[in-house]
Amino acid sequence: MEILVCVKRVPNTGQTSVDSSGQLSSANAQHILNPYDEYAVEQALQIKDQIPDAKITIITMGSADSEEVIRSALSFGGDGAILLSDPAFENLDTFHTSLVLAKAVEKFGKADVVICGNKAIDADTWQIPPQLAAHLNWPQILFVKKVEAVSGESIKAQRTTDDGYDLVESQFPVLISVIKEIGEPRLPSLKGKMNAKKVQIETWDKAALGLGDEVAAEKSFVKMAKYDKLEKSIDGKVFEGEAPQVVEQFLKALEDDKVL
Amino acid sequence: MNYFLTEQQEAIQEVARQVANDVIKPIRAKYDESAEFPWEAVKGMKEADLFGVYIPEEYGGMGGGILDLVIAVEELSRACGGVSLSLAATALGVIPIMLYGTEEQKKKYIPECASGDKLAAFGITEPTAGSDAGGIISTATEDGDHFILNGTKQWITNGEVAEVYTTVFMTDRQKGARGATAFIVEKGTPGFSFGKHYDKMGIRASATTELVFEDCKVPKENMLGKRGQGFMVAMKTFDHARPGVAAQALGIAQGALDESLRYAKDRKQFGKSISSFQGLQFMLADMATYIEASRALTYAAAKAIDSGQDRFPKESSMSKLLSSDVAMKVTTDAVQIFGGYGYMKEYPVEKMMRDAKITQIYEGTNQIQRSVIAQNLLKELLKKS
Repeated sequence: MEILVCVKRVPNTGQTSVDSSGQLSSANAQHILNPYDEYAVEQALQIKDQIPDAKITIITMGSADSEEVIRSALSFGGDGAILLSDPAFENLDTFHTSLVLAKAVEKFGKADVVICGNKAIDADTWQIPPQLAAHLNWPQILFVKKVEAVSGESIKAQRTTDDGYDLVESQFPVLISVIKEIGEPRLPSLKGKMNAKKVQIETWDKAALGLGDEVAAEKSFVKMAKYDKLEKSIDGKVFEGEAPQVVEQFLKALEDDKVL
Repeated sequence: MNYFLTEQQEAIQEVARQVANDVIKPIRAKYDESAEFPWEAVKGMKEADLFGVYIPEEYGGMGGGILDLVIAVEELSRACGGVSLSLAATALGVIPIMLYGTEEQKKKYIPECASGDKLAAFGITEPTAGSDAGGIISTATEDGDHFILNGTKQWITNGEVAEVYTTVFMTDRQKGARGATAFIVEKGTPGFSFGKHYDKMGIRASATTELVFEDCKVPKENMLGKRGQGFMVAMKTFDHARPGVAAQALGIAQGALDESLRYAKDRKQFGKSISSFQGLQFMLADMATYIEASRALTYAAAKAIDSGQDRFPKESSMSKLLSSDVAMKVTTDAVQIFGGYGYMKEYPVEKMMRDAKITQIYEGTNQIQRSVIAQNLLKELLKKS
């Protein structure tokens, strides 16, 4: 069984800023593995716990800097990695990003399950998983909170809804996106970490994926016109001093506001 | 300071630090209070592959040496010197098998300890035999293909939670120090039970019990090393394991410095951070300097062991002596920096001070370490002249 896990290198959103042209700048931010993708890796590992000969391949689209997050994802456990990198892949909208990913899934050829985190903390669009499934013309189970059963040819998963969940079964191939209810990601093990250093990362560019000029930033349907900082709607109040006094002041403020 | 660790040693450091922060830190106060054994932390260390860092790959380990063990124990002890001891004490039980075990014994016992599936323990101390290991009165009497073990071992770390016990008994009392023999005893062997569970000042997350042997029959193939080699097994084991205690002390001290730095920066008195006062800065500088000196000596001792030198009791004792004395001083100063808060159980430093104390006492008191160091200095002098 072959599992592909899509991951993304994202800026630590607490460290980003908006520059003078109204564009988001992450130049000074530390970059990390998208936390939601850790759940995708964890889900892959949970499947591997049940089907030990399942192979997990990590895939990401980004610059050469993405190697660090690929190795970080591999350190939880993983057998291979693919980096999709090409100058034409910079600043793509979700439609084109998912198109590139779809071409890579097709080139990989043998994936039974593609697992994504349900969103990324930077752009927060939630669009990649459904678009990727659409490009592939694959069934999709989104917002999975639990995989109930998995065999060599099908998967049965709980899809979260507003009222509870739907139990959905799909034959392979299938794309699933997971939410954090699938369980806290395990810690990287020493063997995983050492293995992650050794895994050869394959790099595929536009030509390798059989893509032409249809993939370019200027072909994007969606462009970010301007970012703006959220104005604070409520002024916070800071209590200072020793803990007992701070607690006393806080309780009094809650009483004054008739919260208590 | 850059110690030029290998890629694998750096990975051990990262993984152990993550286990310390994510698994051990949140539960350390709970287990310090309850004095129950922290199986959930053992599971975390096991899943991170930390139990086998110093064990050769052919026995299921990661192929590192004592320095690898030291790095793991140090990082884990930064969060809790009691929890980390379940791993360090397992090493103390496994090392004699690595040093003296037959191929069969190594294959039988080491892989399960390397994976963390089973814990191990080492038992030599008795009511009448502490610093003077010659005071052992527990006996092993030959009986056909077996030995019959009788006696009590006290203050045994990992007692009852371990599955594999390396212990020393008198087989030939009239031969004195050459009359002791080491044995491997498995939990569940008829006649082997656990007595008192000790209520300790510190390292309360560590299990410490009596081992009670009443006509406990073990097959001869459980003898470790040769008959009469028991004290040599114990002494060589301690030579290898003392940097592990040094690492525990070092980790406790580093943990106390980490806490002290954060607190000193945040705490305000007289309208400013107390870290701006020179009196406090000098304390922090001393703490950091002593810790770095202990680390340098401990890593150097571990490297000497890993280089395959034959004997290194002096270096091994020095690392344990310095690091444990530093841990006691640094943790006491940490409580001082925290002031009244430091004396309260809501903050972690009073626990660190209690945990540090044992490192000056066990695996040979620091007075014994000084004796070992002095004896070796004098021996070296004799050799030179």
